[in-house]
Amino acid sequence: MAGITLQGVTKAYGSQSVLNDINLDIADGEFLTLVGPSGCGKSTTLRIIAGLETQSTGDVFIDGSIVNETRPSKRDLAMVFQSYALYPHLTVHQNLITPLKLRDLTALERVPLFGHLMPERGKKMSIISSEVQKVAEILKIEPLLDRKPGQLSGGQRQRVALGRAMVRNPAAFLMDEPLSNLDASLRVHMRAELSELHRELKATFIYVTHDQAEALTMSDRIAVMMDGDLLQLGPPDEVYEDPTDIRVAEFIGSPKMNILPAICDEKGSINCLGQKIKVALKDKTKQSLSIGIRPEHLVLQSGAKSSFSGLLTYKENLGSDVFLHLDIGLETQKVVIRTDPQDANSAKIGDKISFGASPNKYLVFDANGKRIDARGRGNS
Amino acid sequence: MELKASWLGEFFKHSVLIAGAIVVLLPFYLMLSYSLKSPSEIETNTGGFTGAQQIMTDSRCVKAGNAEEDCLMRPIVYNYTAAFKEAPLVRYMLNGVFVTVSIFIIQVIVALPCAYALSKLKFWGRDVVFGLVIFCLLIPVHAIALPLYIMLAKVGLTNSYAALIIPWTISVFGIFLMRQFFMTVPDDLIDAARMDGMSEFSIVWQVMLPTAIPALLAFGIFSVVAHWNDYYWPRVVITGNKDLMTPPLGLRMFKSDMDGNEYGPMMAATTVIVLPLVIIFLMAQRRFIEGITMTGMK
Ligand SMILES: Nc1ncnc2c1ncn2[C@@H]1O[C@H](COP(=O)(O)OP(=O)(O)OP(=O)(O)O)[C@@H](O)[C@H]1O
Ligand SMILES: [Mg+2]
Repeated sequence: MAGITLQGVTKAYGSQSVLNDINLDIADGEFLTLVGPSGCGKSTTLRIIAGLETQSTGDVFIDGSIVNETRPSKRDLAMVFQSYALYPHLTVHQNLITPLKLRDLTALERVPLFGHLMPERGKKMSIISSEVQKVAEILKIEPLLDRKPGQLSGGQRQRVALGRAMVRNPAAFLMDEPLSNLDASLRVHMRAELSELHRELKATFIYVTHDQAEALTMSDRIAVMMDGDLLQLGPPDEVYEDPTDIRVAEFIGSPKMNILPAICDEKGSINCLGQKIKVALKDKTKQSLSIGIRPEHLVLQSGAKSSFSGLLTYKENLGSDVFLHLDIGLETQKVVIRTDPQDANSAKIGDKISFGASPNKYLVFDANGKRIDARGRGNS
Repeated sequence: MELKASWLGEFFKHSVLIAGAIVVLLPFYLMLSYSLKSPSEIETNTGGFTGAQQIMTDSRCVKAGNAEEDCLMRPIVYNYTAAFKEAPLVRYMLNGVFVTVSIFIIQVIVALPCAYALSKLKFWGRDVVFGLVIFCLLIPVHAIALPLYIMLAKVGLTNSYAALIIPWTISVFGIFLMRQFFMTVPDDLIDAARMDGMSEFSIVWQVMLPTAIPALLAFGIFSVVAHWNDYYWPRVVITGNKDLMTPPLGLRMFKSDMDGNEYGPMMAATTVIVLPLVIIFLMAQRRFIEGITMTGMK
């Protein structure tokens, strides 16, 4: 069990910089998720922690000691790869015992045939076998032990890959999109299993995904990465409700947060789509802003004066909720409202819909996308 | 109309292929047939494929002073016993097996780590090295035969197994083929092995080697066939010592030993020499074809 710390880690391939100054402090036993769009450097970060890649600058600490020069196998970490990376020529059982044999047997004891003559080997092998048996039981893969990876389904392979990481009882688990090859329902199921596994093992988990839903459901904390920067680090609720950057706000949450353009004048009054909105800024300068509102915070308003309106272009019915897609006259931005099915019943495609939100739900971002501390007054 | 055209096309394709197959197979047909027939049948070109297999007298046996009754035998028996009696055919074949197997094993020992480094490790100058490998593919062996011979002669290794084996131990073709195959092995697999605690050396032998069996088999066929059948190089470095001769070289000696037109025993010897290759190929055929397509497709 160990905490992991990254200090000022950067990585560049030639002149192309891939990670910029990553600082992360992962507590012992924490489930931390690195999330971000494709190509943002999540895998690179994970591989630097694992020691499979060396950082250009900065330090990696495991359990308080610096491991920059330590070989991957000596860092006491286990990694689960997106492609599972099981040895294709070995059975499941052999796949599971390989890491233990490499760790626990001496070089002499590993020599084929001759190794069997070494006195200690039998005892060690029986310990190893019982370890493997235990893990196989937990993961329910006992019936598969004699098969080769090629004869397993994706979900079964995923379990075996997890098992291969678990048998070593490592200080921390590193997982690089382990669920992305599974179908949707199995993925949801495995999410729950992984969370449970984390509770049981009480080990540190570092989990990489580009799926924000996965990040929100499983993690103790989320680290949102984009273009090689670590944008925000915090518990799922905080990242969802209090994004510090417009890119985080847009990435986390489904459907996406609505972003509306707004202008603030010298007196600090904010005009958004022709409506004055009741949000007070500390810094009353003339500037252009973006206002972010989550779909579930928008409410339908019939005929209220200070409300936005748009034409209904599409009704997305999920059974429990209905998402109304509105055209508000902007080319790049549609607005999505989450409503109850009853409320959405009367709305027809092409109707003009009025909507609004309580001002304390507005998130204000400056022209650079940084969050501005702003306080909404009252309930619209 | 269209059906007819395609039928014609198929007919044409198959005729060409069949004609090609006949051209390739004819020499083997003759070899096999001659190894079965009596000298007179070969001379007069009668007797079909197997010959009449009439009892004949072995003229040499008679010359050696035996009674004529003791020297009666069927042509097939005569040809094959003569093949083994007149020349140390077994010895030649054992030489051939020893030389080809040694070459192949050392080639693999050299080529796998090279191919692994060239495909999966990042180091300065890797592309240049790989360029050199490709360049070496272009050099014909005959061009460097003389320098090689001189070098071997200087260290006194001519007329030895070493002379037959050493020049072939580094196969650029093998390195190239295995490198191309290793390129298709996912990096994750290697990283997983590193996480498990394998050294780079064990990765080559415990992870890359087992996954590369089909490709290795393909390379093995090329290597074994080339060196089993090689006449040129053994001819250069084996001068005189008959105990070191490989089958093709032995065959030539065999020919000059026997008087003129003894085609039957000679073809019997040739058949015996070709047979192991055919058997190996048939056994490995499925995986061999697998290996070639795998390296070719990805
Ligand atoms: N060996 C390499 N040489 C050059 N650039 C690389 C190399 N490996 C990765 N990169 C670049 O580094 C960036 C980050 O890659 P990384 O694999 O960490 O992305 P990721 O966040 O894991 O994306 P994904 O979700 O698609 O897996 C990418 O832009 C990629 O092109
Ligand atoms: Mg990745």
